[in-house]
Amino acid sequence: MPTIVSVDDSTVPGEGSSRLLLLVSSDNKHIVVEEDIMSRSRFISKQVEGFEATSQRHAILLPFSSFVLNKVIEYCSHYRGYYLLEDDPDAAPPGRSPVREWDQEFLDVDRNMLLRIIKAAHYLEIKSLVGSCARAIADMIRGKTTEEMREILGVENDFTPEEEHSPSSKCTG
Amino acid sequence: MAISLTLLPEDILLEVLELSEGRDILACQATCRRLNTLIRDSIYLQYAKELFASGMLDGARGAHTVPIRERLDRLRCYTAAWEQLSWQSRMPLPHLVGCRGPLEVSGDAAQELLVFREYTDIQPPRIHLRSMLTSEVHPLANALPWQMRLEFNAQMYATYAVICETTTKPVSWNWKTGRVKAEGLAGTLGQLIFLDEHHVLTPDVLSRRSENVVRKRDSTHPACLHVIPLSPISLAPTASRAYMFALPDFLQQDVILGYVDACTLQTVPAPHGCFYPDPSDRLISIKLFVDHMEWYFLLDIHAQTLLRYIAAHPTTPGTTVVIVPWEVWGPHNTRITTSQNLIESTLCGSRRAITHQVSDSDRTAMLTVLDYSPHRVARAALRGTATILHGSELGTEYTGAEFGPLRTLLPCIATESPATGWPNEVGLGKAYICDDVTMLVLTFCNRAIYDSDRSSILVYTARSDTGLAGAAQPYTLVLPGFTQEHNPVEFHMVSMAPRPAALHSTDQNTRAIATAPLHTLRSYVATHPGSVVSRDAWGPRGTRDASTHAK
Repeated sequence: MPTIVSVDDSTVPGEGSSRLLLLVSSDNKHIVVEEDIMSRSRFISKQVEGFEATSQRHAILLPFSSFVLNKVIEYCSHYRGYYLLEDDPDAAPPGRSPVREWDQEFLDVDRNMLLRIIKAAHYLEIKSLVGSCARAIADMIRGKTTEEMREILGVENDFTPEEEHSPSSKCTG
Repeated sequence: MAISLTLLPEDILLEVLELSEGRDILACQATCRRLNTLIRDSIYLQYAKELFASGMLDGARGAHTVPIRERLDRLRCYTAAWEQLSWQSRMPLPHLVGCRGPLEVSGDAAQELLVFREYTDIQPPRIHLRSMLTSEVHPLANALPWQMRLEFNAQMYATYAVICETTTKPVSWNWKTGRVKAEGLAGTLGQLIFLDEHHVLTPDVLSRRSENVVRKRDSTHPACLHVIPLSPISLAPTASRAYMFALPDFLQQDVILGYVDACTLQTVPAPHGCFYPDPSDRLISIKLFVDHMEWYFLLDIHAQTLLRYIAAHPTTPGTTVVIVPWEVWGPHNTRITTSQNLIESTLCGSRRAITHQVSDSDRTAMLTVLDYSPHRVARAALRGTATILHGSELGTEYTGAEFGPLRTLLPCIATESPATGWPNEVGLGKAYICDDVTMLVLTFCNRAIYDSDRSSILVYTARSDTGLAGAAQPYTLVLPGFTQEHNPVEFHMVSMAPRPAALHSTDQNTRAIATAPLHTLRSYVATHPGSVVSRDAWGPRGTRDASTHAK
């Protein structure tokens, strides 16, 4: 069901420079957010470019819940106006760098939530957030046994017994 | 409901895995088919895995210029070269300007510093602080602030060097300014190495039978490996706490002398190649001489073992010395052997190269490389292809009936090959400077050092920087400043990399003669595989005494 909502620019309160976007989550919550907060998301930026081309502003439907969406908006609000190297499409991909302190606290959530956030960040093409989440997941599996990893990652052992005992699945290189 | 990670898009999974360490990637590959395939198909992850399994780290300074696939190929080439000991036979070259040979070489490749004592009949012997690039006096070095006596062992850490003499206490000084930092660093004997930046180890084994000091061994001061923390600034011992790792009981009364052997602690990765050995696998080895015996005991241990123990057992305030009984730290973490039949052994990272005779009757020289890297031992155990020595046992003929046999359990991989290409008379040797690809072996071809009429420095490299084709590449180095009389010095640099093509020799009569510049040669070798090098081509810098010899 394509919901088309037109947002009147003149209704933007206070900050006249920034326009508003209407984001609709999978649980059908409508969230209004300032455009420049979400400009970190390549996905949203492309949508906005589309609006400008057709001079029609739509609500943007997103395939994840408002709970997750709010979390992402919180992240984007925090870094509003900041330059993050990872999000610069023209910059060379940065090497390994330590997780930003704020991100570490921000991502101190249970594993389900972490996986939902990374999925949402991937959908919205927010590279810096994908990177921070990926690092958090990598930290979760650090030093774990294969069995513990299955638990954390939620995967089933689908090897046949022969495969499991063959050196190639033991990955000796 | 638990979400499965495998439902995530592939590029997210890859991003997570690429941020994981080699060990975790290995464990992850065994979780399920999807991750297994994903990891198997990613060159980057294969490289990370291979690094972990071979105990190497990425990121030596030259790394980023090389694509991942190329790095992976070089790494495989490098590990295979070591596994099969596929180094090429060395080629004896005409001798060069020689003194009676440099003895007791040490140094730090990262700082291009070469420290050695010249063998002379004059007392006191001369100590040289040379540059590895030019083999001239190191431009930053200052004169030694005191006179050396005989035996010595130098260890470098950044701008500090510690020189140990058997007759005095170790001295650390700043080799750039010449200022003495700390004297009488450790306890008793002039042997000392850096475990890391903040700890030195010295074998504290003087027994009451020793000639210099009369000290009774007892439970409060056993024969031990003495680990002393250093002040990070002055490098002076901080007297607050020290650890004494006691030696086994049977050694308590008899051991009279201990020598430590280890690679110089590297402060930075070597400036070439794509990867370097994990420094935490660094092996140290202590030779323990026993009264009236021709042979000695060899105790091998990872530096990390001692450091981890210290980190896990902080001292309580007021304690100055912690005595760690042998049973606590020793049996599982060390390997003790004897030097019988052993000609000489050298260390390189976590490897020990041993030259020995097949037996008393068969004096053929054999070369055995023992590899103590826990990563490589684990891989060899999984593959089942290599010989793994699970520790060692000393019988009562060594330990004495009252103490019973002694089992030590540190495992290592043993690779043996006849020392083909080595001169039959391979004599005493010692490895001095090591980085990721180079083992520098000083060999006295004659058994007796002081009568040696031919000694040589062999440089073995397991080349990661080219990993290309070619045969043995002999390079001869000269240390200038020596007068050539009866005692030629030979240096050989032999490639470890398997190379199918033959050595291209443009002119059999000309051989390249360098002036001990490891780095110069190494970079030359990297760019000019398998060729005879004319002197003009590579070495206008610092070739004071160099000359080409017609054979």
